Amino acid sequence: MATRRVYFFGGGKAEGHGEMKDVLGGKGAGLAEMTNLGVPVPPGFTIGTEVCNLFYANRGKIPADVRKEIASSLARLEKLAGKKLGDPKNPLLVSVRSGAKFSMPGMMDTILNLGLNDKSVEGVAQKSKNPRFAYDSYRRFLMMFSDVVLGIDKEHFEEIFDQKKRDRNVSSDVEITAADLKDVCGKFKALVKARLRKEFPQDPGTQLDLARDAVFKSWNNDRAKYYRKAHAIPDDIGTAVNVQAMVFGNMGDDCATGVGFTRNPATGAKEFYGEYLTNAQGEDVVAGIRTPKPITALKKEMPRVFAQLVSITGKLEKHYKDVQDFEFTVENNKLYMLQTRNGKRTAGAAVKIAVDMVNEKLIVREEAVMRLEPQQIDQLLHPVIDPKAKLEVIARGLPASPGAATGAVVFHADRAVEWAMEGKAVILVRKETSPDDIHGMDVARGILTAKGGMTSHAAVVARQMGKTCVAGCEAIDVDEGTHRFIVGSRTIREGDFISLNGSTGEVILGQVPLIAPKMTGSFGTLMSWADGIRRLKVRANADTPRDARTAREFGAQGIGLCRTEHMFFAEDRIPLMREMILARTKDEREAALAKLLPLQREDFKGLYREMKGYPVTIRLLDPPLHEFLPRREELMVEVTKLDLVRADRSIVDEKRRLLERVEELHEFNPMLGLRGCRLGIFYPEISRMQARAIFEAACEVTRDGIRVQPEVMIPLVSMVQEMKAQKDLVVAVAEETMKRYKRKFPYTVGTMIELPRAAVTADEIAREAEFFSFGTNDLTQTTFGFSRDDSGRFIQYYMSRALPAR
Amino acid sequence: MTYTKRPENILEADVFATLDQTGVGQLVRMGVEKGRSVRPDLKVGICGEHGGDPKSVEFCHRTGLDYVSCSPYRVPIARLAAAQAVLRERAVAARQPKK
Repeated sequence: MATRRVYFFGGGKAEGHGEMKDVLGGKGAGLAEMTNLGVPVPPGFTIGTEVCNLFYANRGKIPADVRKEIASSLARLEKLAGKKLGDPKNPLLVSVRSGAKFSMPGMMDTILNLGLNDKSVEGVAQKSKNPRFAYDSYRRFLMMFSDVVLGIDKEHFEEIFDQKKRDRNVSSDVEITAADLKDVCGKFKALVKARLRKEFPQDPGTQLDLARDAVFKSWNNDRAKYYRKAHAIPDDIGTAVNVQAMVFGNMGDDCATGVGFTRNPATGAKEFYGEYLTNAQGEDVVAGIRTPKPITALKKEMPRVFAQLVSITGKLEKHYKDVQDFEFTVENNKLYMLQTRNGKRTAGAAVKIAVDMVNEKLIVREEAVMRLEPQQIDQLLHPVIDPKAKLEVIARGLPASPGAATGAVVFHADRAVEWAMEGKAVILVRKETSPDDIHGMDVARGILTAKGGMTSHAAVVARQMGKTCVAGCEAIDVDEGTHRFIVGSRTIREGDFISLNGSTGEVILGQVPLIAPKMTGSFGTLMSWADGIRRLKVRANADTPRDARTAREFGAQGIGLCRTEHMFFAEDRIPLMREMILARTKDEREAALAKLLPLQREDFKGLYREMKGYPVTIRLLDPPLHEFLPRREELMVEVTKLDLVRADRSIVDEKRRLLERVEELHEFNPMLGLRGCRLGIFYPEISRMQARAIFEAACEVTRDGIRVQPEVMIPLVSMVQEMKAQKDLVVAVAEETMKRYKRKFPYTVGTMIELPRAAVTADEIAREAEFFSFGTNDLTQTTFGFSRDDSGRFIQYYMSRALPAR
Repeated sequence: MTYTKRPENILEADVFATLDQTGVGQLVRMGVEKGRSVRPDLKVGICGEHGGDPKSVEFCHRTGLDYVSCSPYRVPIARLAAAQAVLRERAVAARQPKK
C-alpha cells in the first residue's frame, strides 16, 4: 500500500502515535497516543498535514486516492460507533477540527455536530428523547458551519436568536423551547438561502468535504499567518484535520464539559485546576457566555467521574512528563477525554513546575533547563506593584496572568498599536477579546476584560505573551463604541490611567509605582542549574552604579560595556562637556577636561565598588561631539529670536559662538564621521583624561581593599595603527598613575570590533589589542550598509512582504 | 480564497535584534580566528543588543566567544540561553555516529 495519509483511532488502538506530530499535528498525535494508552477517547480519524499541502498544490482539490482513504476511514468509524452519518434514525455526528504541529490558540476553526440535517435532527431527538437538545445542536451547527465554511458572519445568526429570546422575554439560552429552536433553525436556513441563493447543504458527505476544505483554507487566514509570523512557525508545515465522533455534554444534568490543567498554569502549584459546566457543550466554557464552575465542584456533583478524571490526567502527566492541558466531556455519566496537550503556562509556573518535576524525579536537571524558553523568563523580570504604594482599587476580576502593568486606557486594538508606536504605555480594555485583537494585545502592557473565565481567549493569550491580564471583571461596564467604561459611579475614558495587578485581579485607578523582581526560590534554583552547565560568561552593559547593581543581582559576571558618554549627558555635566567642545585652544580644552575628571573618576569608583573585582570594560568616548550640543536649527531660531527682542549683547554673542561651533562640527554622515577612536586621536587630551579617571578611580578603591580589573576599550578601530596610538597613550597614563598611587593591579587594553575592516585585519589588530569585543550593532550597520536610525521602515517591510497588506 | 503566490520575505528577522549569522556572523568568526592566531589567549566577547538574544547567544557559544554582554534585565535570559546552547550541542554530538 502507498503511504498512508489518513490515520484511524478508536477501540483502544490507533494507526498513528504520539511521536507523529509532523504528520498528525499536535491534536491528532495526542488523540492517537491517548487511544493507545487506553484513555477513553471518542473514535475518529486524522487527515494528515501532507494533505493540506496537496490541497494547496492542487488548487483546492483533494486527490482521488486520498478521498478513497477518507471514505474507508469514515466507514470504519460508522461501524465502530454503530451509527451512520446522515442516518435519519441513528445518525453519527462528528466534529471537524484543525490541528497543526504547533498549537495555535483561537487561530483555526472548529465545526461541531456535523452530520445534522432536517432528517437526522429528528433521529437525534428521538434517540436522546430530548428534542430541545437536538434542535439546539442543529442551531449551533447551522450557525457555526455558515460562519466558518460558508462565510456568513455569525452575528447575523446571533441576531435572529437574540430576537427570538426577546420575543419570548427570556435572557438565557436554556430557557428557549424545542419548538422555538426549530423555528430558529428554519430562519437560519432561510438566511443562508437568501445570502447564497442556494440551500444549506443537507448531504452530510458534502458537509464533511466542505468542512475539511475550510480547515485547510483557514491555515492561510490572516490571523493564522500573523500568529505564525509572531511565533516563527513555518508556513509550509500545514494543518491536519481531525474528524471525531461527537459526544455530548449537553444531554441533561448527568452531562458536563470542561477544561483543566494537571497543575496550576498561573502559579505552577501542584493542584488540579480547571473549570466545567453541566449540561453544556465545549464552546460554552471557553466563550465566556456562562460563567463556569471550578473543577473541584465536580467532586461533589459527579464523584466517580471526578476520581476517574484525576486518575487519567495524572497518568497522562506521568506519561508526557509535563503539565497536561485537557478537555473532557461527560455524556450520561460516562467520561470522555477530548484532548490533552502540554499546557501553556506563565513563566513563573514554568519555572516552578520544572524544578518541582526534578524534585519529583519525573525529569532531570538538564531537561528542566531546556523546558524554559529564554524569552519567556522576561516575564519574571517584569515589575510588580510596590507593596508600600497606596492603591485605590476600583474593581476586581480574575487574576488571569500575573505581573503588574500601568498605562493609558484604550478600547480598540488598532488604537493600542497607534499609541504604543508613539511610545505610550497602554492598557487594552475589552468586553472580551478575540483573535482579531492579537496585535493590540501584543503591544499593550496589560489587558482587562469584562467577560470570560481563566481559560477565556484573553487569559490564555495573555499568559502566553507574558502580559498582565485581569479577565472576567464583571464590575466594569465596557462601552467600546463610546470609548469608556463605567465602574460604580465612576467613568473611565480613553487615555485615563489605570493599573492592573494580574496576580490578584485588582484594577487600580491611576498610575502606581512598580518595582523590579528578585531572583529567588525556584527561579534561583533553575538559574543555578543553568550556571552549572554553561560555558559562556554573561556580563552586562551598564553605565551607572545603579545599572551595575541590577546587573549583579541578575547574575552578571562583569561589565562588558560601560558607555562613558552616557555619564556626560547628565544635566550637571553637559555644560562642562560643551565648554570642552567649544574650547578654541588645547589649554582651554584641558581646563574644561580638568573639571570633568573628578566627576568621571567618581563614576568609575561607583562601578568598581559594585562589581567587587569582576572585570569592568570601559569604552572611551564614542559618539560624534555634536550630540552634546544643541541642534543647529534650534540654535538658529533662538539667535534670530534674541536678535528680534534686542536681547543682551553678551547672551546673543554666546549663542552665536555656539552656533558657529555647531556649524564647524556639522557632518553630513556623523555615524561615519569624527567619532570613536578618531576623536581620541584628534583630541588625545580627551582620551588621556578618561584614562586618568579610570586608573585613579581604580587606585583609590583598591585602597579600600576592593579588587579591580579595568579593561579599557578603544572604540571604532579599523586599523591597527589607530589601536596602537590609543593603546600607547592609555598604557602611559596607567603606568604613571599606578606609580603615583603606589598601586598595582591587572588591566588590559583592547578594542571593539565593529567595522568590517577590523574583522578582516583582526590578526594585525590583535598584536596590539589584548581583548576583542564585537560591537555587533555597528558591525551590522556597516556590513549591511543599513543605518540603524533609518532602516526601521524597510526592515519591517523586508520581514512582512509575505503578509497581506494591512 | 485566492491562490496567487505572495512575495517571499527578504529578511526573516530584524538583523539588529538577531545576529545575521551568514554575513555579519562570518566576520565575527573570522575576527575570532584571526585574532587568536596571533594571540591564543585573546579574550573575546560581544556587547551589542545581540548579547541578550537567545539565538545570537547560541551562535556566540558555537563560535567560541568567552562572554556575551547585554542589558542588565536580559542577563538571566542570556545565562539560560548559554546553558541551552551547551545542552543542544551535547544533543547534536550524541546523535553523531561514533567513529
